[in-house]
Amino acid sequence: MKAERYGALLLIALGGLFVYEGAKLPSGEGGAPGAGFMPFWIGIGLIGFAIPLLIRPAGNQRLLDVVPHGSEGWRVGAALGALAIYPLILKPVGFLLSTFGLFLFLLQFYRRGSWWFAIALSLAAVLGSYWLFARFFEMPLPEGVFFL
Amino acid sequence: MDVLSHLYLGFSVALTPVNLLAALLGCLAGTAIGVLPGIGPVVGITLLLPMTYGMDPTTSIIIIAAIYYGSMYGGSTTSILINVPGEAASVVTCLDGYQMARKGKAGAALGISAIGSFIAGIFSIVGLMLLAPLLVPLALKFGPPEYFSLMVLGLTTVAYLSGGSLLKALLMGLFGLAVSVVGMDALTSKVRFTFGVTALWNGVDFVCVAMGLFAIPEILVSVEKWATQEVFSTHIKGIWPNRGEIRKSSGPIARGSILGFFTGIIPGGGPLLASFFSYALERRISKYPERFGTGEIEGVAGPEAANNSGTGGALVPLFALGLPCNIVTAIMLNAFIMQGLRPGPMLMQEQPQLFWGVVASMFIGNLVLLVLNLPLVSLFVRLLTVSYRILLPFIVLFCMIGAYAVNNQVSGIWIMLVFGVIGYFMRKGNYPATPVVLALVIGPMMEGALRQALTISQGDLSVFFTRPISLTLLIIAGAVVFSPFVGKWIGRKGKISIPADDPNV
Repeated sequence: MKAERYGALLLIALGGLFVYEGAKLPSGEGGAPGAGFMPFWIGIGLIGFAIPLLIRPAGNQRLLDVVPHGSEGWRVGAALGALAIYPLILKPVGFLLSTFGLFLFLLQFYRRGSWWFAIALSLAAVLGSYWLFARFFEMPLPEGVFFL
Repeated sequence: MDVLSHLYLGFSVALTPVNLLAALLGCLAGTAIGVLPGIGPVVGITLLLPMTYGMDPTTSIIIIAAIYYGSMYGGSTTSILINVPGEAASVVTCLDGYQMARKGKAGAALGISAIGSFIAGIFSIVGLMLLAPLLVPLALKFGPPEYFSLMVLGLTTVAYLSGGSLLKALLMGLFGLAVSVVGMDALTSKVRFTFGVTALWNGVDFVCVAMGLFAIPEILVSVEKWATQEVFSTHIKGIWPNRGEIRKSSGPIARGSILGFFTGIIPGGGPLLASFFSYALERRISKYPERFGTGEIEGVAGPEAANNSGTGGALVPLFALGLPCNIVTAIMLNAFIMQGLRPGPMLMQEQPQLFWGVVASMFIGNLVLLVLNLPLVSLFVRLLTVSYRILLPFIVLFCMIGAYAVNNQVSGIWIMLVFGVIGYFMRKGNYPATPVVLALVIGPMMEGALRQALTISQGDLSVFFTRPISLTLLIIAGAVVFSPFVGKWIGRKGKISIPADDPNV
């Protein structure tokens, strides 16, 4: 099946969700639209515009053209994994340590180079950004259990 | 005289030390953002937006505007030197600018680019300060039906000009509207589509979505393709064009300025479209069109003037009508809203110092950019020696901090990552992201206008069709949507071909 049909199905499903949930919300009374009015019609619009795409996709992409696989898939997955771990550890571990870890990983993951250079640059970047955002802009960055 | 007195007010605001510093920093940041490929004004402004929340509204808009037009100056540097556009609106400059560099005329190309950008920038600022106030009386006639119809027109036009499939672009506009209704309904306080997640009660934050849809996919695609970036180093000899080159450039600069300004006003238009139009025009009227693409200075002067003039034009509907017509002005609108302001005719009347302060600051900023770009071009070129291996973690760092700073909660980072994944697949599947972001910003206003209009008319939909301005806007929107089908039917191609989904318009 062409990739666009998957996209169209997802959008139809989203449209269906909005129609269903929108219908559950108050539609309004006395001519004044309620909270459910706009979501309902957005859902109808999504379904209405997605059906032609389902019937006649605009392009020729296959699913494997869109979804990364093989070594490319591993790289994207690893990068996403690192990005997803960061918010999980940010508050418990603290800004400095978690950001240092993420920065170092990305630096060495993208193109492996000298570890000393990577560690030094990561330290500089993290300390510099901490000074800029936490001290200069007075942004409350999480300290974590190590108070770092 | 009224304009002069307003301008005096504007300069008194713009020349304060804080606002002067804001303009300078914005210009520097914008130029650097424009020079660095892969980081366009959209990503750059989005990353820096959270830092402006604590600032005075005028100062924050001055910075954002300075980054916007500064990036237009910077984008031409990489186009000319390494045949890679620093931002999307400089794509056309690659065609002749790089060829000029290969012939040893990089300095002349950079020089005329900066001079043309300056002249066009001044022209667009004059246009902005003359045209925006003229639109205020018209805008005051706008009621809820007209505002709703105007936003429908804005969305459909942006979808049409996004490039690629119009159907996909319209779907993305609807997707953006869908995201905009998540959270608490402003009128009834009903919580919608949060599914028990309290972090979504205040809605989905624009900054997180914008970074998710633009910055994160860029990172993932770079990682996927193991993208490399080569640097072309050249010794730049002299940055002043000679008399003949100036004479050849004057016509294109003048035409590009006018064309760019009015193209910028069109929703979905902006600097990118303006630069393409200008190149096509110069080639059409040239005595030697076959020379375009081989290093003709007209091919640099016109588009560079047009893309800078487009930035001023894009601000006209934002200030006069409160309607953003591209991503950057949508970000500016969001910045206004975060400051508790609503741009439009009332704001221009009630807080003239804001509008005129920004206008005056743009005069100053353009002068600063001309002074910066010519002598400092070698320094900005050195930015290109920074490898993407080092840039990538910094981009991620700014994204994470920016997303966290929205509410000082990790939920902002999660929202950014979710939309990052969505944006990645959108990009692979050729679904444009621009309509999503625009719809997200104007969605609440659109819903508010729709509900007000129907409340006033007691549910009668004809209110949108019986009022002349509203009807006209809807007819134009309909024409935009159906024009490709009409064009095919009568055997002509009516669609303008531009790179699909270039957010840095």
